Amino acid sequence: MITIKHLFKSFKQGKVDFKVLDDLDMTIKEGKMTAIMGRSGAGKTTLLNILCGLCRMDSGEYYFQGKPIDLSTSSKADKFRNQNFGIITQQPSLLNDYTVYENIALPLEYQKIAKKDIEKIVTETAQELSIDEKLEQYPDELSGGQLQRVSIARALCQNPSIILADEPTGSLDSAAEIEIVELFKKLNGLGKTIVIITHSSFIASYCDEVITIKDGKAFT
Amino acid sequence: MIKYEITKNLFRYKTLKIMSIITLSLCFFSVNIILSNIFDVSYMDGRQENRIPLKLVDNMDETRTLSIYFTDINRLRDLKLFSNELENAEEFDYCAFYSNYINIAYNQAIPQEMFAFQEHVRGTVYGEDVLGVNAIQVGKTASEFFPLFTADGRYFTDQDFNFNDKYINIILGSSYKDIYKVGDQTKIEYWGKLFDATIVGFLDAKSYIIQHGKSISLSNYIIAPFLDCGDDPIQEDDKVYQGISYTSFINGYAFLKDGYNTTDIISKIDSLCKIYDIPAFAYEGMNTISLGFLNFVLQLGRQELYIFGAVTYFTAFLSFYIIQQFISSRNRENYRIHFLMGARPLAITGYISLDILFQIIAALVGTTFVYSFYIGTIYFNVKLILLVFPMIVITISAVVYRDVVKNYYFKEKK
Repeated sequence: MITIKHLFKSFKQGKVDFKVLDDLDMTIKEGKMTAIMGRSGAGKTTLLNILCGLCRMDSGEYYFQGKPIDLSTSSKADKFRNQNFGIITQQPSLLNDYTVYENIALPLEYQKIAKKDIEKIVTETAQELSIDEKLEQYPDELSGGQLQRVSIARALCQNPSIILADEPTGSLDSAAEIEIVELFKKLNGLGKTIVIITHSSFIASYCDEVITIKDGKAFT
Repeated sequence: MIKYEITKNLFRYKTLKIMSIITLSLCFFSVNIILSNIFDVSYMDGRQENRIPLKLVDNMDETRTLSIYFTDINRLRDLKLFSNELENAEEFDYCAFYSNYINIAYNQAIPQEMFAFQEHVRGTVYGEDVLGVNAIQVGKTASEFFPLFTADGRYFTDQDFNFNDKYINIILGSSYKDIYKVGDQTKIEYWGKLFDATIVGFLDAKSYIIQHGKSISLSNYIIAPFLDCGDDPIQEDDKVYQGISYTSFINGYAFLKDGYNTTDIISKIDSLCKIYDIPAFAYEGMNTISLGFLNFVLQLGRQELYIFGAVTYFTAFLSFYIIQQFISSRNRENYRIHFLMGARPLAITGYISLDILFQIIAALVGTTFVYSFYIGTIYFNVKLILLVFPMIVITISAVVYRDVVKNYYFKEKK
């Protein structure tokens, strides 16, 4: 589904060029649940930023569903990201003064989907993730696991090709971690391609593929 | 969605926003006072460098109080003595300067721009068909303080300020050149008295006056002298003329002399008002609250005024900017969520800029209200609006650049 070839990415630190990703090749297969692992600073988040078009490659080739992707301008990158990715972050990244319903509906509002359709999609997704009774509540009234469910619901309701999750259980206790990872597994079982950035070998054990980033390169 | 977020955004971080609005209001308030004075100083360019005038405004009731001076000769004498005291004060130089319409003999060539009123322009006075036109009245010293240059003919001489029962010399604004020439005669009704007026000169086309902080071109104006009526009125129309003339004469400008300050002017005039039973004066652009500040401003020379204005502006702007950065940094996560959920950068720029714009408008409205309430005469004009513009542009570009463009990415977790 995603193929990256000869990816180079470096950042300037003072006067020194710091190579983060160095001739990286990798493939993410459609319908699989893939974990991206590596030490802190190995370049996992940089890779995630590049995958969803938030960060540009210095050089390299990016193929999505077999076609080369042009991410040379921010508007092209924004369009590509909004059409194909559902993003879940470590902190649930919810707007505290929006209700759960409004939070889930947010990406649909930006896609200018009709109110009636938004209501249907949000209600169905919330039911699927067992948070339909929380729709009128505000994020500060929910537990960590529930917040992450809202975050997943928001990503899902866009019906993305891929769900990108950046340390989705990093801020959760172990019970909530199991709950979320099983939810991901369930979604994967329904055909969703899921990419999880994680430090946790427990989460990696649930994944079909594990890609490890080391010395700027990817190892499967 | 955008409307909804704008409304939500408006009510986030209320305390910080109130602080920001107060800071900006203080900036507007002080810069407005400073700018008004800088503007006045510029106006005095090359004439009374560094001497900022204080505008005296009488508190006489138009109809009731004025009539006393027409009917009671002793009150008129007191008013004349009071006027002499103003002209001879130790603490300041006095410049009589007033703006009130004059009726001129009807001439169909006089265009509408010269008219003092929209309606009832034309009338009959003492059997003369007349038009009410714009005019200013000046004392002997006016040309020392204000740029009243003649392009044709001559300016007033001392003799032109002496009262003559029948004749008067006048100067016309440059737009009258197509209608009259130097030496022409016409009739004017000048505050209840009919005069044979001789045109002795035309003002330079660039001549202007400042009224309520606005620059007004004199090209459509008649300039008439305040006539020095030493003697008591004899004719009935002299009574009216002298009453109006002297009550107008005392609405002029006081220029501080070295070693004195605004408080000295005010106490001097207050004491004279008590002696001659004249209603206490108001002073344009000031009251007891702003007196101290204005006093300080009036003591400054032009260069210091610019520096002080720039420092005040810069300090207030910096505070406003820092508060905005603080609000923005707290709001950054919200903007990032919107961006990740599909908001275009333009929408986020809109959220930030509208949020700042609302604060600026709130400060502007608040300051306008407080200024008009306490200062009395509202000087809120283009100068202040011009101040707002760079503030919007600079703040938006600075904040938006930092928060939208630079915080595009997920942060690497260490």
